Amino acid sequence: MRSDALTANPIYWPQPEVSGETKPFWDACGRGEFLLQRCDDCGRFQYPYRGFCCHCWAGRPRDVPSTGRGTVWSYSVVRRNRSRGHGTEPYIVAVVELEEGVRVISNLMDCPLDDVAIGQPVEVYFQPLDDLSLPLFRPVPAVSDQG
Amino acid sequence: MTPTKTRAAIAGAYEHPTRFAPDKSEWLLMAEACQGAIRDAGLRPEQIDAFFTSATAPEGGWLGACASVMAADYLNIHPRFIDETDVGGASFGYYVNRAVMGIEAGLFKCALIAYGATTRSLGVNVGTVRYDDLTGQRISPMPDAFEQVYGTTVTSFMGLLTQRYMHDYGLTSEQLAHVAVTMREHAALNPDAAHRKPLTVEDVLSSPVIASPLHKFDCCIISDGAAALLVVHRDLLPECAKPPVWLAGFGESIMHHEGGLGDWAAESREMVRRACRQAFDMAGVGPADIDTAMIYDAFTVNVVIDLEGAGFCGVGEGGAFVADGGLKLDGGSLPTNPDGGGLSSNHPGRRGIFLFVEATRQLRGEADGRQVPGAETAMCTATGAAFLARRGSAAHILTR
Ligand SMILES: [Zn+2]
Repeated sequence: MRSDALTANPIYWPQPEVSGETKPFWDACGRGEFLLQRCDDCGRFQYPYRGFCCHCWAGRPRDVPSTGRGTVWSYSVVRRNRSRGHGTEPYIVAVVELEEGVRVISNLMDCPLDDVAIGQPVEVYFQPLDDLSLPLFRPVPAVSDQG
Repeated sequence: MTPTKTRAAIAGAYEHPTRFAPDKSEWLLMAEACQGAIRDAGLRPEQIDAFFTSATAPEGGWLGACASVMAADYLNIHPRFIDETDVGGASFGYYVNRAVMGIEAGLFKCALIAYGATTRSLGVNVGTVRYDDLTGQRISPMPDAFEQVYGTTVTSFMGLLTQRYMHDYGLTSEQLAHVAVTMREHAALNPDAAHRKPLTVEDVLSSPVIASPLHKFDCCIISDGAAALLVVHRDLLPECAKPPVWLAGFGESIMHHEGGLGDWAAESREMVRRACRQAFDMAGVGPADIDTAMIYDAFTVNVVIDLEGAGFCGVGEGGAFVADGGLKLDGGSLPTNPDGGGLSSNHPGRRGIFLFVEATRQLRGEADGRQVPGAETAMCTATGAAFLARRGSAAHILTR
């Protein structure tokens, strides 16, 4: 039970299971890196993290940390979630298109519900849970140098 | 064009009239639907040699692993062939496909397809909980750890799809509301429909947002319910009580995440297009030959995407099609879901089977008060399994 997460956010993040296959991804999250993989044979990116290249079944997927920057590809303001642990406050589920072209699902945090829009620039950050760090996204100003 | 027929036809079809049955079990509802279908067909239970059903646990009951063997035991039938392929609410279309394939291959002659669920009685919030919360399971390492953990629900998945579809193809919430309004108009003509009180576009748009941009009335209802179909080889038709409804063509297709590179919105339509193309080609007909359509309306957006995918209108034209009354029994170019659909009549969680019952009623001319005059050829399309972008579609052409 993460009482801090429950009080700080409307989202209850259940603890995900980690397998030997996905452990490198979660280890990287602990270092503040969002890991994508790129195949050394076909050159394509893949997500979520897995132990083979799902595009060509031949090459080895190499770990490639994402820049962590992207844009909102789609979003939904969730106003009803009756799962155990969830409160009644709305929150944003988003599909983020990373600069590498990969689409990932996450929560868009620290964003007024009326401001969220497709195309909005966002960046990753990491929320510590009990046993791992969970990648989340937050808005970045449209005109700013993120270097 | 007159459709080419397979050797398989629907000989019996029955939709349980209940929408709320707290005094029964989903097993009994299914059995009562089977009794109804076998009576409708004029056949006997011992003639059933293939059986198809879907697990209902966790959303609609207790029937879980090994569903077809467990249910065959309860019904005390002895099928040689069983299947419980799971594509969520579209599963029943897949069973019809497999029944036709088995009949064409000479494996069996009398296939029972059955479903029962008590989702409403059990108080299951199918569309507004995380799936792991529904099952009581943990967040699996793949893929739930990358998805469910973020507080996703079925409605939020469909909200993500709808938002992007609106962005890419100009669809609006007001256009979607017309789908719900038309389904309610049709439900008013169906004495068994769960919700028959008139609904306006304004009612839909002012109803609570469940997961934006989807309002409460963009989402299907939650009911108890059951249905059964008998799909038989034409050799059995002389024994049957009613004229056959022929399976003329079928198709199926799935989509998923493409390793993180897929376009969920476009592919949702392309998946439907592939399934429908296969069905049309097999039957030798096209969209202009369809007199009435049964489109699985789990959410209003499903209808728009299926209309565009099937080719009843062009890409990006589905919103205007529904807003202009294209779905209406009264004057629409494609009378759709005359029974009121999942939005107003019956949706216990896996609606797919009801499409075939209503298509059968329509093609037999049995749809009192909501009959599409002279309906000769019907189409069913269904999309199920909304685990983010992992979904499957089934499409069918039926003819009398
Ligand atoms: Zn590769």
